[in-house]
Amino acid sequence: MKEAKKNETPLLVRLSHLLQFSDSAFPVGTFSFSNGLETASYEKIVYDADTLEQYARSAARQGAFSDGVAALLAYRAMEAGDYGRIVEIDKALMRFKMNDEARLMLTRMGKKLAELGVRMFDSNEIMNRWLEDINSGNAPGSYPVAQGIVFHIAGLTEEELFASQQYGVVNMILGAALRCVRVSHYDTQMILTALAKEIPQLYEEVKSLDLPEMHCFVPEMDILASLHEKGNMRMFMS
Amino acid sequence: MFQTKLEKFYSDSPEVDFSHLREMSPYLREPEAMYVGAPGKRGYLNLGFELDSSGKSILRELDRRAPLIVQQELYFDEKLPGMPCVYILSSGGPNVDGDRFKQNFTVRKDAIAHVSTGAATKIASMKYNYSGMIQNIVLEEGAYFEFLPEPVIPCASARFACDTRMIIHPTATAVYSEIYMAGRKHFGNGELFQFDILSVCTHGERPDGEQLFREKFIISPKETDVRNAGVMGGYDVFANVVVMTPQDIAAKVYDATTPFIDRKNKLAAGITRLPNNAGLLFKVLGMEPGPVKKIVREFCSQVRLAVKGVPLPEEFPWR
Repeated sequence: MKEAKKNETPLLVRLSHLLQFSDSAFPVGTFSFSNGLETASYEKIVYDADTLEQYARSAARQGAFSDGVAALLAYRAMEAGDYGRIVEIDKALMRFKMNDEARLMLTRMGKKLAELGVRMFDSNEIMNRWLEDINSGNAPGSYPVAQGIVFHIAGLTEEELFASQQYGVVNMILGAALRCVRVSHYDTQMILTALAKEIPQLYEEVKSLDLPEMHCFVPEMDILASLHEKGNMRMFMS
Repeated sequence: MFQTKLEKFYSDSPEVDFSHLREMSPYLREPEAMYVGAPGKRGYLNLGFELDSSGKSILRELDRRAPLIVQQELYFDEKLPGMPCVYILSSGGPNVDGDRFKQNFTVRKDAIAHVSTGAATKIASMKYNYSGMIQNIVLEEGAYFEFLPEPVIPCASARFACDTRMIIHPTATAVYSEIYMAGRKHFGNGELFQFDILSVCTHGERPDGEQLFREKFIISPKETDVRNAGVMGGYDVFANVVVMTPQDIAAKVYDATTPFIDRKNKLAAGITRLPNNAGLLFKVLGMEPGPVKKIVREFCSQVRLAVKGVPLPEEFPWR
């Protein structure tokens, strides 16, 4: 099935879509979030390339076992044409997100991607229906689910979806790091290269997980998110 | 080596099934000592609190199987003298290889209750299997429940799975806290993060079945570095407090709680709102259980103040 999809969309078109959706300039608002890094930098938890790499790795891992799982499951629900499952995944992911800023980030970016999706692929029934449900409050509209839907419509593969999800999480943090941590663009690109090598292993661990198996353990990031939520640092929205 | 050829008898207490947890699948060998499910290795506790005819909260239902012990409720809380307080004890000492536990707590309409443990829960080193616990917390209309146990200490090679289901009426308040240590910190040269796995899931719902939140964490320090920035960093103790409560109470407690990172004393705490207006989630990181417990109690005190108008009493000096 996956092979068949690949063949439907020419390779160069697929690669172009992959670059487009993973670009930090893709208009879903990635740049306005730092995933707690702004506070981590202020609290001197992240202060150089090494601690930044650790932090980005923690975020990537957390993302893989929650958002990554949801994105892959949404992709498969598209494959099965199961709209009910899409909404189920969407809601389950929001029940798993333990802070307001994380929920805000996911729903804001998700809705933007859904709005882009209906314009880019105007004849897709599930995409259109999902956006209607987001607007009427019947679906939360989370970003990973939107990614799963859009990547499937664009003829991309599951692996490409997961790589893009991981790249998105890490690149968001590294982009923010250039503005709030003393690191150079050489440092951030080296971290991105190092973490890219860890994606295949994460994919192996994540690809067979179901909704109840989503998990994450980042208590220090959770506390940073709380400080940001109640504090007045506002270079970023998280 | 102890391998009995005698007929195996099984405890009549409810089975505790974690076969759906993939992360525990490497740990399913039958222990060569007492088998899984043997009497004394499958603990069971059923506590039901309710108002008696005079309006006093009492422990009406008490059913237990070894190694779990509850004797009776005591009314020792000076700030809430009408509240039954119960300590759960375990005659087996630590949770050992292949132990299973099930604990049900029900607090009926308008009743109040406090549950804790008599000492820290040690999860012993394991070779074959794991230790698992299922908990159900059910609160009816207007009920108030505090669950503030002593810390959990996972020894080297310990494996522990815990699933806590909270079914809470929208007008009721439940405080559910857990404190996890990294291990026997002061044993030998210090046993930190040498356990195999902790898999802990806490999920909340309404009596009509509406699902509200689901938090799950898996800590497997031998596979992933818990010392990474963002995970445990340099901290050794971690506390998680779930408060399911009506929105107005949640708002009061949220406003009264200030998250902080105290770099000098190596303590940190954060508060956040649970999804679907289910309540609050409070997390603490620290180096020793004492200071972490103190912060957890101060937070719980805020909740009690908002719901019952009185704070928590000072902790007993011997605790």
